[in-house]
Amino acid sequence: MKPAVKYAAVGVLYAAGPEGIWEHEIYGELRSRYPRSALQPLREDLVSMRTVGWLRILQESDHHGQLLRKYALADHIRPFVRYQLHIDDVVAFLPGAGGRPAAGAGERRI
Amino acid sequence: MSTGMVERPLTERSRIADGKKTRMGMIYAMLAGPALGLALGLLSTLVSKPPFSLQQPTGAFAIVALLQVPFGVLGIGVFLLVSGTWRDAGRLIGHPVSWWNLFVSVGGFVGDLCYAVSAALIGGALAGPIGGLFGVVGAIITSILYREKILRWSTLAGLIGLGIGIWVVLSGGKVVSPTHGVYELVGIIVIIVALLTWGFENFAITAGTDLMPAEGFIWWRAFLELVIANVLMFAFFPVARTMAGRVWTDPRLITYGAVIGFGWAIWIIMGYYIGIAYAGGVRGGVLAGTFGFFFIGFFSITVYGVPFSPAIIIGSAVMFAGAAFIVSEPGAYLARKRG
Repeated sequence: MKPAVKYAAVGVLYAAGPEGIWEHEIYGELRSRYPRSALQPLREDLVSMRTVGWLRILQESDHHGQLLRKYALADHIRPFVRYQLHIDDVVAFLPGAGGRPAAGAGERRI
Repeated sequence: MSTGMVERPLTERSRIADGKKTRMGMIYAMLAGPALGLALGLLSTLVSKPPFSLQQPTGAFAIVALLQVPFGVLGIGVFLLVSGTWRDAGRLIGHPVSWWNLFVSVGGFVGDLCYAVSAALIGGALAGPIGGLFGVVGAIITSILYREKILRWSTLAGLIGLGIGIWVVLSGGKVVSPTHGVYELVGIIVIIVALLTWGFENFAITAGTDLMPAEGFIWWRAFLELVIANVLMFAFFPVARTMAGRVWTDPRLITYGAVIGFGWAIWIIMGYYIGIAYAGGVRGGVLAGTFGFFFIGFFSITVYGVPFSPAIIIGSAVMFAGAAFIVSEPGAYLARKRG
Protein backbone atom coordinates (compact mmCIF):
# COMPACT_ATOMS: atom_id res chain seq x y z
CA MET A 1 0.00 0.00 0.00
CA LYS A 2 1.14 3.57 -0.70
CA PRO A 3 2.30 5.49 2.34
CA ALA A 4 0.15 8.42 3.45
CA VAL A 5 1.11 11.66 1.69
CA LYS A 6 2.31 13.17 4.97
CA TYR A 7 4.63 10.21 5.55
CA ALA A 8 5.86 10.31 1.95
CA ALA A 9 6.75 13.98 2.46
CA VAL A 10 8.63 13.04 5.62
CA GLY A 11 10.40 10.37 3.55
CA VAL A 12 11.51 12.95 0.98
CA LEU A 13 12.77 15.22 3.76
CA TYR A 14 14.50 12.30 5.46
CA ALA A 15 16.29 11.39 2.24
CA ALA A 16 17.24 15.01 1.61
CA GLY A 17 19.24 15.05 4.85
CA PRO A 18 20.48 18.14 6.67
CA GLU A 19 20.85 20.19 3.44
CA GLY A 20 17.06 20.31 3.26
CA ILE A 21 14.76 20.62 0.27
CA TRP A 22 12.45 23.31 -1.13
CA GLU A 23 8.74 22.65 -0.74
CA HIS A 24 8.11 22.75 -4.48
CA GLU A 25 10.82 20.10 -4.91
CA ILE A 26 9.03 17.89 -2.37
CA TYR A 27 5.89 18.37 -4.42
CA GLY A 28 7.83 17.45 -7.57
CA GLU A 29 9.12 14.24 -6.00
CA LEU A 30 5.65 13.13 -4.95
CA ARG A 31 3.90 14.20 -8.15
CA SER A 32 4.70 10.97 -10.00
CA ARG A 33 3.33 8.80 -7.16
CA TYR A 34 0.15 10.60 -6.11
CA PRO A 35 -2.75 12.27 -7.95
CA ARG A 36 -2.59 16.05 -7.90
CA SER A 37 -5.69 16.31 -5.68
CA ALA A 38 -4.06 14.15 -2.99
CA LEU A 39 -1.10 16.54 -2.82
CA GLN A 40 -3.16 19.65 -2.15
CA PRO A 41 -2.82 19.49 1.66
CA LEU A 42 0.97 19.08 1.36
CA ARG A 43 1.81 22.69 2.15
CA GLU A 44 -0.46 22.61 5.14
CA ASP A 45 1.21 19.41 6.38
CA LEU A 46 4.63 21.01 6.09
CA VAL A 47 3.59 24.09 8.03
CA SER A 48 2.05 21.87 10.74
CA MET A 49 5.20 19.79 11.02
CA ARG A 50 7.20 23.01 11.26
CA THR A 51 4.90 24.23 14.05
CA VAL A 52 5.64 21.17 16.18
CA GLY A 53 9.35 21.35 15.58
CA TRP A 54 9.79 18.39 13.19
CA LEU A 55 11.12 20.72 10.51
CA ARG A 56 13.57 23.59 10.42
CA ILE A 57 13.24 26.38 7.89
CA LEU A 58 16.62 26.79 6.22
CA GLN A 59 15.71 29.46 3.68
CA GLU A 60 12.75 31.44 2.48
CA SER A 61 12.20 33.05 -0.87
CA ASP A 62 9.61 35.07 -2.70
CA HIS A 63 8.20 33.69 -5.94
CA HIS A 64 5.62 36.02 -7.57
CA GLY A 65 4.43 37.09 -4.14
CA GLN A 66 4.21 33.48 -2.88
CA LEU A 67 6.31 32.56 0.10
CA LEU A 68 8.44 29.46 -0.54
CA ARG A 69 10.34 27.67 2.20
CA LYS A 70 13.27 25.29 2.23
CA TYR A 71 12.79 22.70 4.95
CA ALA A 72 15.05 20.18 6.66
CA LEU A 73 13.96 17.41 9.00
CA ALA A 74 15.12 18.25 12.54
CA ASP A 75 17.96 16.00 13.70
CA HIS A 76 16.25 14.88 16.89
CA ILE A 77 13.22 13.57 14.99
CA ARG A 78 15.12 11.40 12.49
CA PRO A 79 15.50 8.25 14.65
CA PHE A 80 11.87 8.63 15.78
CA VAL A 81 10.35 8.72 12.29
CA ARG A 82 12.69 5.99 11.11
CA TYR A 83 11.20 3.56 13.61
CA GLN A 84 7.65 4.88 14.05
CA LEU A 85 6.84 5.50 10.38
CA HIS A 86 8.95 2.69 8.84
CA ILE A 87 10.61 5.50 6.95
CA ASP A 88 13.07 3.24 5.09
CA ASP A 89 10.11 1.55 3.35
CA VAL A 90 8.66 4.97 2.55
CA VAL A 91 11.95 6.18 1.05
CA ALA A 92 12.19 2.99 -1.02
CA PHE A 93 8.75 3.77 -2.45
CA LEU A 94 9.81 7.25 -3.65
CA PRO A 95 10.95 7.72 -7.26
CA GLY A 96 14.51 8.83 -6.44
CA ALA A 97 15.10 5.89 -4.09
CA GLY A 98 18.17 4.54 -5.90
CA GLY A 99 20.50 7.52 -5.72
CA ARG A 100 20.23 8.59 -2.12
CA PRO A 101 23.21 7.48 -0.08
CA ALA A 102 22.93 10.72 1.94
CA ALA A 103 20.05 9.35 3.99
CA GLY A 104 21.99 6.56 5.63
CA ALA A 105 24.99 8.80 6.19
CA GLY A 106 22.80 11.42 7.87
CA GLU A 107 21.37 8.77 10.17
CA ARG A 108 24.77 7.52 11.29
CA ARG A 109 25.93 11.04 11.99
CA ILE A 110 23.40 11.40 14.80
CA MET B 1 -1.51 47.15 1.42
CA SER B 2 0.09 44.70 -0.98
CA THR B 3 3.12 46.96 -1.46
CA GLY B 4 3.54 47.05 2.31
CA MET B 5 3.59 43.25 2.32
CA VAL B 6 6.33 43.07 -0.30
CA GLU B 7 8.55 45.54 1.53
CA ARG B 8 8.46 43.49 4.71
CA PRO B 9 11.35 41.06 5.22
CA LEU B 10 10.50 37.47 4.33
CA THR B 11 10.98 36.15 7.87
CA GLU B 12 8.53 38.76 9.13
CA ARG B 13 5.97 37.76 6.50
CA SER B 14 6.48 34.12 7.37
CA ARG B 15 5.94 34.84 11.04
CA ILE B 16 2.79 36.83 10.35
CA ALA B 17 1.46 33.98 8.18
CA ASP B 18 2.07 31.45 10.97
CA GLY B 19 0.48 33.73 13.55
CA LYS B 20 -2.56 34.19 11.32
CA LYS B 21 -2.95 30.44 11.03
CA THR B 22 -2.88 30.08 14.81
CA ARG B 23 -5.58 32.71 15.12
CA MET B 24 -7.70 30.94 12.49
CA GLY B 25 -7.39 27.73 14.50
CA MET B 26 -8.55 29.52 17.63
CA ILE B 27 -11.55 30.95 15.81
CA TYR B 28 -12.52 27.49 14.46
CA ALA B 29 -12.18 26.02 17.96
CA MET B 30 -14.62 28.62 19.28
CA LEU B 31 -17.07 28.25 16.40
CA ALA B 32 -17.28 24.54 17.14
CA GLY B 33 -18.81 25.30 20.55
CA PRO B 34 -22.51 25.61 19.65
CA ALA B 35 -22.44 22.25 17.79
CA LEU B 36 -21.26 20.46 20.91
CA GLY B 37 -23.75 22.36 23.05
CA LEU B 38 -26.57 21.24 20.78
CA ALA B 39 -25.34 17.64 20.75
CA LEU B 40 -24.38 16.93 24.34
CA GLY B 41 -27.13 19.20 25.70
CA LEU B 42 -29.64 16.92 23.94
CA LEU B 43 -27.77 13.85 25.17
CA SER B 44 -27.99 15.17 28.75
CA THR B 45 -31.73 15.64 28.36
CA LEU B 46 -32.39 12.22 26.81
CA VAL B 47 -30.19 10.19 29.15
CA SER B 48 -32.71 10.46 32.01
CA LYS B 49 -35.71 9.50 29.83
CA PRO B 50 -36.94 6.08 28.60
CA PRO B 51 -35.58 3.74 27.36
CA PHE B 52 -32.31 4.93 28.87
CA SER B 53 -33.87 5.38 32.30
CA LEU B 54 -34.59 1.62 32.50
CA GLN B 55 -31.32 1.15 34.33
CA GLN B 56 -28.47 3.51 35.18
CA PRO B 57 -25.62 3.79 34.43
CA THR B 58 -26.36 1.32 31.61
CA GLY B 59 -28.62 3.97 30.05
CA ALA B 60 -25.72 6.41 29.88
CA PHE B 61 -23.58 3.70 28.32
CA ALA B 62 -26.28 2.91 25.77
CA ILE B 63 -26.79 6.51 24.66
CA VAL B 64 -23.06 6.83 23.97
CA ALA B 65 -22.70 3.44 22.24
CA LEU B 66 -25.99 3.46 20.30
CA LEU B 67 -26.50 7.10 19.35
CA GLN B 68 -23.59 9.48 19.91
CA VAL B 69 -20.68 7.44 18.55
CA PRO B 70 -22.28 5.63 15.54
CA PHE B 71 -23.57 8.89 14.06
CA GLY B 72 -20.28 10.57 14.99
CA VAL B 73 -18.33 7.95 13.02
CA LEU B 74 -20.72 8.46 10.10
CA GLY B 75 -20.32 12.25 10.27
CA ILE B 76 -16.53 12.12 10.33
CA GLY B 77 -16.64 9.50 7.55
CA VAL B 78 -18.61 11.91 5.37
CA PHE B 79 -15.98 14.57 6.13
CA LEU B 80 -13.23 12.19 4.95
CA LEU B 81 -15.12 11.41 1.75
CA VAL B 82 -15.83 15.04 0.94
CA SER B 83 -12.31 16.23 1.75
CA GLY B 84 -10.75 13.38 -0.22
CA THR B 85 -8.66 12.33 2.75
CA TRP B 86 -10.29 8.87 3.03
CA ARG B 87 -7.34 7.34 1.15
CA ASP B 88 -4.99 8.32 3.93
CA ALA B 89 -7.26 6.84 6.61
CA GLY B 90 -6.34 3.30 5.57
CA ARG B 91 -2.72 4.16 4.93
CA LEU B 92 -2.01 5.28 8.45
CA ILE B 93 -2.60 1.79 9.87
CA GLY B 94 0.35 -0.59 10.04
CA HIS B 95 3.05 1.70 11.40
CA PRO B 96 4.07 1.30 15.05
CA VAL B 97 2.68 4.77 15.71
CA SER B 98 -0.84 3.65 14.71
CA TRP B 99 -1.27 2.01 18.15
CA TRP B 100 -1.76 5.56 19.34
CA ASN B 101 -5.24 5.36 17.72
CA LEU B 102 -6.28 2.64 20.13
CA PHE B 103 -4.88 4.49 23.13
CA VAL B 104 -6.71 7.69 22.19
CA SER B 105 -10.01 5.94 21.52
CA VAL B 106 -9.95 4.13 24.89
CA GLY B 107 -9.35 7.47 26.62
CA GLY B 108 -12.09 9.13 24.60
CA PHE B 109 -14.51 6.32 25.36
CA VAL B 110 -13.90 6.53 29.12
CA GLY B 111 -14.35 10.33 29.04
CA ASP B 112 -17.54 10.18 26.95
CA LEU B 113 -19.03 7.47 29.14
CA CYS B 114 -18.22 9.40 32.33
CA TYR B 115 -19.82 12.51 30.87
CA ALA B 116 -23.05 10.65 30.04
CA VAL B 117 -23.16 9.03 33.52
CA SER B 118 -22.57 12.39 35.15
CA ALA B 119 -25.21 14.05 32.97
CA ALA B 120 -27.71 11.45 34.19
CA LEU B 121 -26.84 12.30 37.80
CA ILE B 122 -26.34 16.07 37.82
CA GLY B 123 -27.66 17.15 34.39
CA GLY B 124 -25.91 18.74 31.46
CA ALA B 125 -26.28 22.29 32.81
CA LEU B 126 -23.91 21.44 35.64
CA ALA B 127 -21.80 18.70 34.03
CA GLY B 128 -21.12 20.84 30.92
CA PRO B 129 -19.32 23.81 32.49
CA ILE B 130 -17.31 21.55 34.83
CA GLY B 131 -16.42 19.16 31.98
CA GLY B 132 -15.26 22.11 29.90
CA LEU B 133 -12.31 22.50 32.26
CA PHE B 134 -10.76 19.54 30.42
CA GLY B 135 -9.39 22.08 27.97
CA VAL B 136 -7.35 23.64 30.76
CA VAL B 137 -6.16 20.27 32.10
CA GLY B 138 -5.18 19.36 28.55
CA ALA B 139 -3.38 22.67 28.06
CA ILE B 140 -1.32 22.13 31.21
CA ILE B 141 -0.40 18.54 30.19
CA THR B 142 0.39 19.64 26.62
CA SER B 143 2.46 22.61 27.75
CA ILE B 144 4.54 20.34 30.00
CA LEU B 145 5.03 17.55 27.46
CA TYR B 146 5.56 19.90 24.50
CA ARG B 147 7.63 22.34 26.57
CA GLU B 148 5.34 25.16 25.53
CA LYS B 149 5.52 28.07 27.93
CA ILE B 150 2.12 29.14 29.21
CA LEU B 151 3.06 30.39 32.66
CA ARG B 152 2.53 34.14 32.49
CA TRP B 153 0.59 36.53 34.68
CA SER B 154 -2.37 36.20 32.29
CA THR B 155 -2.42 32.41 32.77
CA LEU B 156 -2.57 32.78 36.53
CA ALA B 157 -5.30 35.43 36.23
CA GLY B 158 -7.17 33.07 33.89
CA LEU B 159 -6.91 30.13 36.30
CA ILE B 160 -8.22 32.30 39.15
CA GLY B 161 -11.08 33.33 36.86
CA LEU B 162 -11.85 29.66 36.12
CA GLY B 163 -11.85 28.87 39.85
CA ILE B 164 -14.30 31.68 40.61
CA GLY B 165 -16.43 30.70 37.61
CA ILE B 166 -16.68 27.06 38.66
CA TRP B 167 -17.57 28.12 42.20
CA VAL B 168 -20.45 30.25 40.90
CA VAL B 169 -21.60 27.43 38.58
CA LEU B 170 -21.64 24.92 41.45
CA SER B 171 -23.73 27.32 43.51
CA GLY B 172 -26.34 27.03 40.77
CA GLY B 173 -26.27 23.25 41.15
CA LYS B 174 -29.19 23.22 43.60
CA VAL B 175 -31.49 24.57 40.92
CA VAL B 176 -30.37 22.62 37.85
CA SER B 177 -29.25 19.24 39.20
CA PRO B 178 -31.91 16.50 39.00
CA THR B 179 -30.40 14.72 42.02
CA HIS B 180 -29.11 15.98 45.33
CA GLY B 181 -26.97 14.90 48.22
CA VAL B 182 -24.75 11.89 47.69
CA TYR B 183 -25.91 11.33 44.08
CA GLU B 184 -24.98 14.89 43.19
CA LEU B 185 -21.58 14.43 44.83
CA VAL B 186 -20.98 11.17 42.89
CA GLY B 187 -22.02 12.95 39.69
CA ILE B 188 -19.49 15.70 40.34
CA ILE B 189 -16.75 13.15 41.08
CA VAL B 190 -17.56 11.28 37.85
CA ILE B 191 -17.40 14.48 35.77
CA ILE B 192 -14.04 15.26 37.40
CA VAL B 193 -12.82 11.81 36.26
CA ALA B 194 -14.14 12.69 32.79
CA LEU B 195 -12.36 16.03 32.68
CA LEU B 196 -9.06 14.48 33.78
CA THR B 197 -9.39 11.71 31.17
CA TRP B 198 -10.40 14.18 28.48
CA GLY B 199 -7.58 16.48 29.55
CA PHE B 200 -5.08 13.77 28.80
CA GLU B 201 -7.06 12.94 25.68
CA ASN B 202 -6.64 16.54 24.59
CA PHE B 203 -2.87 16.07 24.66
CA ALA B 204 -3.23 12.67 22.97
CA ILE B 205 -5.25 14.24 20.14
CA THR B 206 -2.66 16.99 19.77
CA ALA B 207 0.14 14.44 19.53
CA GLY B 208 -1.93 12.23 17.20
CA THR B 209 -2.66 15.02 14.74
CA ASP B 210 1.07 15.73 14.72
CA LEU B 211 2.05 12.09 14.21
CA MET B 212 -0.59 11.00 11.71
CA PRO B 213 -2.65 12.43 8.86
CA ALA B 214 -5.10 14.25 11.12
CA GLU B 215 -8.39 13.47 9.35
CA GLY B 216 -7.87 9.72 9.26
CA PHE B 217 -6.62 9.74 12.84
CA ILE B 218 -9.79 11.48 14.05
CA TRP B 219 -11.94 8.92 12.23
CA TRP B 220 -10.11 5.94 13.74
CA ARG B 221 -10.40 7.49 17.16
CA ALA B 222 -14.21 7.57 16.80
CA PHE B 223 -14.48 4.22 14.99
CA LEU B 224 -12.48 2.29 17.58
CA GLU B 225 -14.57 3.90 20.32
CA LEU B 226 -17.65 2.60 18.52
CA VAL B 227 -16.27 -0.95 18.48
CA ILE B 228 -15.03 -0.89 22.08
CA ALA B 229 -18.23 0.65 23.46
CA ASN B 230 -20.59 -1.74 21.67
CA VAL B 231 -18.61 -4.88 22.44
CA LEU B 232 -18.37 -4.02 26.14
CA MET B 233 -21.99 -2.94 26.39
CA PHE B 234 -23.60 -5.93 24.68
CA ALA B 235 -21.29 -8.37 26.45
CA PHE B 236 -21.67 -7.10 30.00
CA PHE B 237 -24.96 -5.18 30.23
CA PRO B 238 -27.92 -7.36 29.20
CA VAL B 239 -30.42 -4.52 29.72
CA ALA B 240 -28.64 -2.66 26.93
CA ARG B 241 -30.04 -5.21 24.45
CA THR B 242 -33.58 -4.16 25.34
CA MET B 243 -32.57 -0.53 25.07
CA ALA B 244 -30.91 -1.14 21.69
CA GLY B 245 -34.10 -2.76 20.38
CA ARG B 246 -36.20 0.19 21.49
CA VAL B 247 -33.75 2.79 20.17
CA TRP B 248 -33.36 1.25 16.73
CA THR B 249 -37.11 0.79 16.21
CA ASP B 250 -38.00 4.35 17.20
CA PRO B 251 -37.47 6.81 14.32
CA ARG B 252 -37.68 9.74 16.73
CA LEU B 253 -34.77 8.44 18.84
CA ILE B 254 -32.72 7.69 15.73
CA THR B 255 -33.27 11.28 14.59
CA TYR B 256 -32.22 12.57 18.00
CA GLY B 257 -29.18 10.32 17.67
CA ALA B 258 -28.30 11.94 14.36
CA VAL B 259 -28.42 15.38 15.99
CA ILE B 260 -26.21 14.19 18.86
CA GLY B 261 -23.75 12.29 16.68
CA PHE B 262 -23.43 14.83 13.86
CA GLY B 263 -23.15 17.73 16.32
CA TRP B 264 -20.42 15.86 18.15
CA ALA B 265 -18.69 15.10 14.85
CA ILE B 266 -18.80 18.77 13.80
CA TRP B 267 -17.20 19.73 17.11
CA ILE B 268 -14.54 17.04 16.71
CA ILE B 269 -13.74 18.17 13.16
CA MET B 270 -13.75 21.92 13.84
CA GLY B 271 -12.45 21.93 17.39
CA TYR B 272 -10.06 19.02 17.42
CA TYR B 273 -8.98 18.56 13.85
CA ILE B 274 -8.85 22.16 12.65
CA GLY B 275 -8.59 23.98 15.99
CA ILE B 276 -5.87 21.83 17.52
CA ALA B 277 -4.00 21.18 14.28
CA TYR B 278 -3.85 24.92 13.51
CA ALA B 279 -3.60 26.50 16.93
CA GLY B 280 -2.00 23.72 18.96
CA GLY B 281 -3.20 21.77 21.99
CA VAL B 282 -2.99 24.71 24.34
CA ARG B 283 -4.87 27.41 22.47
CA GLY B 284 -7.07 25.16 20.33
CA GLY B 285 -7.76 22.78 23.20
CA VAL B 286 -8.68 25.40 25.79
CA LEU B 287 -11.05 27.17 23.42
CA ALA B 288 -12.68 24.03 21.99
CA GLY B 289 -13.20 22.70 25.53
CA THR B 290 -14.36 25.79 27.36
CA PHE B 291 -16.62 27.17 24.64
CA GLY B 292 -18.10 23.80 23.68
CA PHE B 293 -19.02 22.89 27.20
CA PHE B 294 -20.28 26.37 28.06
CA PHE B 295 -22.84 25.90 25.31
CA ILE B 296 -23.98 22.60 26.83
CA GLY B 297 -24.89 24.46 30.02
CA PHE B 298 -26.32 27.37 28.07
CA PHE B 299 -28.56 25.26 25.79
CA SER B 300 -29.60 23.01 28.68
CA ILE B 301 -31.11 25.88 30.68
CA THR B 302 -32.56 27.61 27.64
CA VAL B 303 -33.74 25.35 24.79
CA TYR B 304 -33.66 22.01 26.62
CA GLY B 305 -35.84 23.22 29.48
CA VAL B 306 -33.70 22.67 32.56
CA PRO B 307 -34.71 25.26 35.22
CA PHE B 308 -32.99 28.54 34.45
CA SER B 309 -30.15 29.52 36.75
CA PRO B 310 -28.33 32.86 36.36
CA ALA B 311 -25.44 31.33 38.35
CA ILE B 312 -24.68 28.94 35.46
CA ILE B 313 -24.56 31.79 32.95
CA ILE B 314 -22.55 34.14 35.17
CA GLY B 315 -20.16 31.37 36.27
CA SER B 316 -19.67 30.20 32.68
CA ALA B 317 -19.04 33.76 31.53
CA VAL B 318 -16.36 34.17 34.19
CA MET B 319 -14.84 30.83 33.08
CA PHE B 320 -14.95 32.12 29.51
CA ALA B 321 -13.02 35.22 30.49
CA GLY B 322 -10.55 33.05 32.40
CA ALA B 323 -9.96 30.81 29.40
CA ALA B 324 -9.51 33.86 27.18
CA PHE B 325 -6.85 35.14 29.56
CA ILE B 326 -5.00 31.82 29.36
CA VAL B 327 -4.86 31.78 25.57
CA SER B 328 -4.46 35.50 24.98
CA GLU B 329 -0.99 36.74 24.23
CA PRO B 330 0.68 39.31 22.05
CA GLY B 331 0.63 38.44 18.35
CA ALA B 332 4.43 38.34 18.29
CA TYR B 333 4.42 35.24 20.53
CA LEU B 334 1.69 33.39 18.68
CA ALA B 335 3.70 32.15 15.74
CA ARG B 336 6.72 30.33 17.15
CA LYS B 337 5.72 28.86 20.46
CA ARG B 338 6.12 25.19 19.82
CA GLY B 339 9.16 23.24 18.81
